[in-house]
Amino acid sequence: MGEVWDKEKQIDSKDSERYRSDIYEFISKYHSTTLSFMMTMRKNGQSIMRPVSTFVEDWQICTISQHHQLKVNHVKNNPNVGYMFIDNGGPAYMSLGYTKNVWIAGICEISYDQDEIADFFVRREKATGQGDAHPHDESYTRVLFKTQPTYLRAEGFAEHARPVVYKTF
Amino acid sequence: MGKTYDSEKEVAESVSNDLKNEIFLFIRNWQKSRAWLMTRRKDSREIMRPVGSYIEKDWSVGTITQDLHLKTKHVANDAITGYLWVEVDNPRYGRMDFPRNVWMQGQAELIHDDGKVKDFFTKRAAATGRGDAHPTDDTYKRILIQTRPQYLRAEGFYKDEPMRAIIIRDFNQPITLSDESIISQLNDFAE
Repeated sequence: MGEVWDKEKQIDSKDSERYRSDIYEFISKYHSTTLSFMMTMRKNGQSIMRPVSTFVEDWQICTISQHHQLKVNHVKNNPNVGYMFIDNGGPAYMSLGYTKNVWIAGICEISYDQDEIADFFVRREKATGQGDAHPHDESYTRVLFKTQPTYLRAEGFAEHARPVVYKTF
Repeated sequence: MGKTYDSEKEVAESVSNDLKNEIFLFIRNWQKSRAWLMTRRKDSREIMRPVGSYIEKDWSVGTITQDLHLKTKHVANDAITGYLWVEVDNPRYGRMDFPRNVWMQGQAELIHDDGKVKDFFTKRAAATGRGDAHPTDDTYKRILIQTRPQYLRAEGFYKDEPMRAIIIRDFNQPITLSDESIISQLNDFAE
């Protein structure tokens, strides 16, 4: 292939393993230097994204929502979700100003178990200092999205703009 | 609904209409916002990657690709695309401290015609100063992914309650700002 493609083609699957811990660390930076956006599917099959907070445990991506948020209905109807993690202010890895970014597609399960959610907040607080930061008005019922990744694409970790792709976690 | 939901629910259509120009300028301002393009793989699962983007006054969005890129194949197989734009280096909004952001979902067409691709570069250069910045080696065949939007969600633009989502579903009316006004406002943002 030509020069351009060579700078953008996927990293070989064996070589890609050496970036795994860096990528995990990047997506685990709770809402500080890494920002996250969640994609869900509307009833018509089309997708929508919005900013969310995330907490990652053993590659499982967790996000708290409210019972009456649209994204809860979306996930109930279609558990296929995606997360875009972007670097808020790190150095650019190419001339267009792109900074590190990770796309993850996965299958999401919703937990309504308030004990499990309370445990989640305890673990998150221990790891990040951020416990239950959600509003405490009575109308707010917490639900927990737990997403198991099935596909990951990361850019800005290997040379040039070459993506790293993982299908096993 | 409760207080929390009220602070995040969709704004009235009249507010969305009032904010259309601001959202357009946000997307047009390639120096202040980054773009990611979503395409769908053969198994219909979505995938995103960073891209350059240019929005025209009819709300269509263009991204240049190569024939051998996966995203080109994806669009050839499935016309549904999406863009995420996120602001960089500007003040944040809301209790979650997010940067302003826009999601757009639409239908894309691949434009292979060299003349039309050249026209795209000419328009983009006139509007942004950024013409054909792609490599000039012989292997690089330029193709335009042109997306016509169907749904747009923006957050951080409604000053009173910035976490409330702005939804635009009607793209029949083009942006009426003059080219001079657009350039002038983008220059003001850059200062």
